[in-house]
Amino acid sequence: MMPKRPVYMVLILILILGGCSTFDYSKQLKQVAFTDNIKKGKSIGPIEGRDCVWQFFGLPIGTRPSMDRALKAAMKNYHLTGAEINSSSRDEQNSAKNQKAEDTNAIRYINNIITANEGFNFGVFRKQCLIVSGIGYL
Amino acid sequence: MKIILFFSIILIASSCSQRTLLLSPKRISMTEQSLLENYQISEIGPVEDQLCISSNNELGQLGLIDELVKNAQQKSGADFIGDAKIYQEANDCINIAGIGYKKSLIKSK
Repeated sequence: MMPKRPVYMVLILILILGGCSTFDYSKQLKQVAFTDNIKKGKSIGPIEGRDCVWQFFGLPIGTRPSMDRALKAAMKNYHLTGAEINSSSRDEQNSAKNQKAEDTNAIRYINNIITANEGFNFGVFRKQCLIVSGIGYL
Repeated sequence: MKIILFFSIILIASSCSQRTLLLSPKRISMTEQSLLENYQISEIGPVEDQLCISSNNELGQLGLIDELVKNAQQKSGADFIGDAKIYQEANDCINIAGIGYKKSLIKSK
């Protein structure tokens, strides 16, 4: 019969070597802009978004978390909150008008961007998240 | 045992071997928060740089992208980097490619 010890050793080795490196991507990045217009705008206060990936034995199920997706999530969170506030006054006739208003209220850039890594292990499963926060400007 | 070893090698080899697009902003800067009134930006040419690091301790008060953007700006003299693409490579290196922009005061007539 095959000894079980080497099997455990291999599994432990996979868990140790299989994980991806995580870094603090940003601690004081001054500006990330999503449009060409970078003139000083109106602050909407702090915004936050995250991008997560599950890992199995250190193998990511999907692509690694990216700042792009975390920032898009932060912008989506802000616009969803705005949509809830406007929902009572919206109807089909003026939906195009509201859409135009939302576009003009889009976040143009974010200042003082900070990233953080968060996650937890559940045996061979692991959830890894990249959290991005900053001050949004319209 | 052979099957476990086979899958182990595949898992270890493939787990972080992806080239990931981390960030692709229209403009990025480590020195400027916005463009003030009476200022304009002008293109100064392509900007490229790479940073490889083995631990966060080497960075100190800066993040990986902070350091990369700061170095790229210092080397090129750009105040902003436009249409930037920041990739994380499989070997814990990140690189940036974009177009450098320098700000200047708009001359009044």
